[in-house]
Amino acid sequence: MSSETLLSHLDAAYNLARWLMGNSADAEDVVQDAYVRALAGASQFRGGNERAWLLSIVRNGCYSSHRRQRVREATDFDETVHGEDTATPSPEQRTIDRETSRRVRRAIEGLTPEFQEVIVLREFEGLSYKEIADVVAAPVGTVMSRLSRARAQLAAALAEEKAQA
Amino acid sequence: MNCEDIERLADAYADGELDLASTLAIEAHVAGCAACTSKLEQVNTVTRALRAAPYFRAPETLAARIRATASDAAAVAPTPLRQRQNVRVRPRRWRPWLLSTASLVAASILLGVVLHERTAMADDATTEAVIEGHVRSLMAGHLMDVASTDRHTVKPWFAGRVDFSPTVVDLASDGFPLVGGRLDYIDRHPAAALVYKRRDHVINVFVWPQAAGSASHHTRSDERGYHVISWTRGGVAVWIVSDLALDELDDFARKLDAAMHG
Repeated sequence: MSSETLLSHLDAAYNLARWLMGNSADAEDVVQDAYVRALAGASQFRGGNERAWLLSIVRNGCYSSHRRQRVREATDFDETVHGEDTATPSPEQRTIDRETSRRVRRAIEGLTPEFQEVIVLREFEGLSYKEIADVVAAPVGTVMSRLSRARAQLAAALAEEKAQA
Repeated sequence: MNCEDIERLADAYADGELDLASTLAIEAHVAGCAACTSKLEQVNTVTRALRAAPYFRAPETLAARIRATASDAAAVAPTPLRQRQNVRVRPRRWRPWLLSTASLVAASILLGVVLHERTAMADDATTEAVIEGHVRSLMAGHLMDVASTDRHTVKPWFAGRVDFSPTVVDLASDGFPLVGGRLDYIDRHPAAALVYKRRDHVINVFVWPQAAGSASHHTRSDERGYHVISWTRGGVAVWIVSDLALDELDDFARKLDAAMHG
């Protein structure tokens, strides 16, 4: 496995990290770190689905990064970083497409990471339940129920936003 | 197939993840059930709505950064050759000294690494086995053969099942309650698995008799986020594994070690 074949999954890796981390700087760091790990551990790769294997490394990197951040937050809560996002689009930007996109984005961002990751892997990357199970290290049955609950939450969140709009 | 089944399987059906028999059974039921029709419609609505969600493509610079790190790593091996060439091109009196000192240091580091790696290889196999044991226990829902928070119940349970008597300690007062025990196999020998919890994280503690080994704690982590800490003391090998944050697992390891041998 070369770095070039692994790089063909870069968009998938970055998209997952971007959703789980919530910002581009952290997502880039996690992805770069994941590639270093993947390339170093390429000899231990026992065949199977290379994309799922890479995504599992990215996913675990996101979780470790969150864990480290939680430890930091416990001692140092920064309002500018963790405060409520107050950015609102200007009236000109409120075309229907952007509005829909924003609503969907907020709905996904409102999910917990366990639900976010199954949605991203299924809806954006089209992974099978078995592949998702490999990435998130959970049984297929758990993937199925998480996906189901995640979609129910998204449906509720989208209906609520629509009602408010 | 009833409405409850459909509620549970609707997503798998919409995702085309069900076998043919279940698919047909669902379609037969849905044809005559308005509630289930709307449940399936809800799944499809969400999937359609998500097409409007942004897909974050990796910035160009990221691929370049990764390529740079990859070639850096590849360039590490031939370094000694380059160093020698540098010395020939620009000879200076102190350079040979520096080079021989440097190579001595490098050689001793290399030797240390090789020796360390030999023992590390056997340990790696056990680490892998311990993580697999942990994952297996969670996946199959086979966490415990004896579910008890009472160490006086757990310890006698192992008598007759393993040919040694594991020390069972309770760390509930430290925030790591004992929840039970189980018989497991690690590296083809029976091991007593003691199960502890920290919030909703499971900690598996594998114990088996082992004559020699290092009493200091060794920590390893794998890319799936599992941490393994091991030591050998008093003729017993102890391997703990969990997805708990490393600092908390470290704390657990210290308390367990102290309680077992205190």
